[in-house]
Amino acid sequence: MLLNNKGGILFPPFKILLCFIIMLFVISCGEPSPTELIFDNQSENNIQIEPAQSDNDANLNSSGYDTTGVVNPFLSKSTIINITGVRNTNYGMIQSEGYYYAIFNDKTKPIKIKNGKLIGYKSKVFSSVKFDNYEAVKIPNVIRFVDGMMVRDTVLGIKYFIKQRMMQNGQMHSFPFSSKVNIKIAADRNTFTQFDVAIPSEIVGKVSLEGNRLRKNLNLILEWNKKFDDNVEIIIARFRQNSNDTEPLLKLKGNEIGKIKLPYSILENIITPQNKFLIISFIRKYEKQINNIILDDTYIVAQSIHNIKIEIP
Amino acid sequence: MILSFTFTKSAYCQISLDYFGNAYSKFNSRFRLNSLESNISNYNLTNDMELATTFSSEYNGGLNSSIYSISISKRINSHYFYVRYSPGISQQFIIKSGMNIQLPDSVAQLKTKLNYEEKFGMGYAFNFSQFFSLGFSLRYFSQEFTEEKPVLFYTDSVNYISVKDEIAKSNFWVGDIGLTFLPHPDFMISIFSNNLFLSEESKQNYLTDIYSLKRNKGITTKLFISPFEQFNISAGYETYGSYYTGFNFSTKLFRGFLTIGSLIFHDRYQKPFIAGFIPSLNYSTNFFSITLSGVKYFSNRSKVQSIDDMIKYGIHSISNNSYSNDKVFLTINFSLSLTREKQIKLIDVDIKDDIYPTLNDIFIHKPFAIGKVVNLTNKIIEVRPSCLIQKVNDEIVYSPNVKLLPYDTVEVPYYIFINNSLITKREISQAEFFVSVDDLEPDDKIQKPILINDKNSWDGSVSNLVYFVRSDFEFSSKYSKNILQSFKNYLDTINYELLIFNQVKILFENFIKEMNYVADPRASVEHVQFPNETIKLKGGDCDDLSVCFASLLESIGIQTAFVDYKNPDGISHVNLLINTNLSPSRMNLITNNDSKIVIRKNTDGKDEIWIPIETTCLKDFDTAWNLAAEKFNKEAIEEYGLSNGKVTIIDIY
Repeated sequence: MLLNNKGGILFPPFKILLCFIIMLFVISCGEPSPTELIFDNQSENNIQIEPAQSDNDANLNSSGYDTTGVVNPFLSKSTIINITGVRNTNYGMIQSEGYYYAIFNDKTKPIKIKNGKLIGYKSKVFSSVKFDNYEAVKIPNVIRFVDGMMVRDTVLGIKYFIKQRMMQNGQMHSFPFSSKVNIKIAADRNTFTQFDVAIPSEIVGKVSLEGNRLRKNLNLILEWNKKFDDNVEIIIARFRQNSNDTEPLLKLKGNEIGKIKLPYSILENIITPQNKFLIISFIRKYEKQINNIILDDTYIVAQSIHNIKIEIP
Repeated sequence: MILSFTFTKSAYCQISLDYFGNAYSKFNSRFRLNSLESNISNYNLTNDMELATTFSSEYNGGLNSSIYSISISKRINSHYFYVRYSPGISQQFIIKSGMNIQLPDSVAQLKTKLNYEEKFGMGYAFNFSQFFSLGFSLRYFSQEFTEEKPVLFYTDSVNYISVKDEIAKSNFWVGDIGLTFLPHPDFMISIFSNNLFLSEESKQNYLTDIYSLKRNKGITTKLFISPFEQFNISAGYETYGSYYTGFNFSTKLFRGFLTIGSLIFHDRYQKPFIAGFIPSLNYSTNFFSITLSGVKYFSNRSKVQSIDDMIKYGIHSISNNSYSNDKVFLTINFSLSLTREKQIKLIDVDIKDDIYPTLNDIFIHKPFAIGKVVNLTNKIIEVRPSCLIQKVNDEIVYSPNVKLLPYDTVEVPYYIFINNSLITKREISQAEFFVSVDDLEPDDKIQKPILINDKNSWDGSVSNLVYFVRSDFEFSSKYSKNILQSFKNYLDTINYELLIFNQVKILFENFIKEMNYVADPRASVEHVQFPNETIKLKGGDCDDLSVCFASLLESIGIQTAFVDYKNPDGISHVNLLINTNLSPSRMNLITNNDSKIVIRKNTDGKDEIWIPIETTCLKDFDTAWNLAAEKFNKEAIEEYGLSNGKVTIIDIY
């Protein structure tokens, strides 16, 4: 029993006050909302990230990362034209190449494997395809796919292709970054179509590590030469076990500042002592579509790719 | 009237601000109207036990109310203890990382959650005196940081990203010390440390490196000044650049006091320059205190803020930082005193005299001790001093009341009445001194040792021999009357004018028949025999014989006086003057030598003949008279002893 300081029982106003306090106890059960903080738009922490996986339903795990190192996802398009300048950096060695190719799919003739999954289409044959008046050669359009537990190659038709290899010294032809490439496609002797494709400026990436793996604050710092009105994608891939084939894992969308800090946690469970290498591909590309009598349902892309091979310590 | 002006500086942010703002004043000082943040030294005037509860309401997109803190404090003499549970001292943050992850079925924006809590705290203070207090505080903090991290899982056929939580906990203790100095009741200064002692309970990792509360060391200085009774100014300064200032005003309202205060503060890491203000309204009575206060920040706290500044500067206080929202606090303090609340304090008692049982009447009229008391209230009160001395009193002896103005300090006299005057043993006893305001228990008390003398002890003042004379009148009267009875026939025949002279002569001749002069048995303390002891022991020194003979005469109505001959060597002498009731014109009835008499005026202004008697002269009356007259004439008259104070006549009545 509470007593007042005269030693007597609490007087009524004191009891009222006590009741008031108890009521406050009862109603005072709210939890203050957390204060929200955000990173600046110009922050290196602004990242859009998604797993890189095949977007067709054929279970292709190569996902179009072809043997040239060009990221080339499977596309269910009738016409695919690709102009790519590739820069490969491997332990400081830099090698630059250019690839031009065109594929004309006959979408009335899909190719499916045993489980019914679509892996591509038979190709159509055109009279000629020229890139800046250089006529492309016809080569087999080889694709790689997984059939059950087996990785198989198959030929879906032909591909119109030019490889422009440029060594650092004595380059024969420079890849026309920040320029245009004229494409002329002749269906037959009398029917052709001709148009220009803008080539983006060359992308030059840089990969570095920051922090300490033991303290769990290791980050991959991805930087590139940011341009105005840029459209950059970054693909992170690793090598398949016991193979030189690469396997894309993540796709990041480039931000406005040309720098991304990627937490290592996202990669830590795929880096093993036996496989400590990653391929980081910086991709800047322009896309275009054309619809005319000869071409429709097109996917035309001109891109600059910088592949960097790094070893995670 | 109290004005409070506060001034504080800190390198970091205002870590010494608490939610009471400037509510503390002289009139509510019995309640703790500050907290561990602003009162590390725990200086407090809580008298006994106190319970305080604070509720807070905060606007953060919606109105949220919660229990902010519950504290209990207890004073035990000079020790003060304080414990606080503070569920409301917390702040949560959600940091949206800017990383958008494509999950199998949705897009997730990764977040980091920061949770800061000050779980509980405790404080202790020791009041060395009313001017100086030293204390320390311990506070326990808990931090939990949860960061959502993307993790890539892959199979031969499909890749997907999941989200996992990285959790880092960091709990730690913060200990600080502080002192409070009050050179004057209207001026107080406090100095205390910030983050002096730190004790981590958890290992650090990158999350705690980034987000942990900053715990830079610093010093805070606070001033409290009362230029007027109801007006306070306070100021605080924290090292490195933060400070605050405020005032408050108090006025009486019903049975309590209303205090209105305000405080503004500058914080190094908050904008604008004056980051905010804390208004407060307090109403206090003797039993409870209610404080309504709030914090209003001048910057916009509702907009979503950037994490970058937080990472760069960190936060230094959970309750007051750049991200704190406006809040309203309601605090209620209860006095849980089960003992009387002090209205006055007995600071000290100065014992002026030892106790002489036979000199009882002196102590009734003259204080034997002086106490110093202070009025702790804001009203005029009447203090009643009282005391009790073991073996001297059976019950408490009350002294006259003394009025004290609010917060005034005065001296109060202590009188004593000696019940037991027959103390035979000289010893040290304990005197308990009390002060009380009403008829209830005393508000304060002090116990001190005091020397109790025995009944024969005398303080050496001849005037106080009177009490030995009076103490035995019954015996003396009986003794004198017996002697005079045997001389009745003679006395019946003599001239009535000479009756007293002859009575004195007869009594003296009979008194000295069996007497011997015996020196005082003790050298250290004056010892005086009661008349019956002198008669029984048949002897004594000048004090004893003078006391005894004076008692024999006074007991039958013959007026006497002591003649105190002070000697510079320290050995004094006492004999008697006796009133014969004869007028000077009738001197020849007893002597023709005017140097043998002393003329003194009676109460009616008429002259009367007094004769000096040397009581240590045990030969005969005439010799004793002659010796005394000779000594009196020489030392009192010729050597001007009466004028220069070396000879004093002390009437016994």
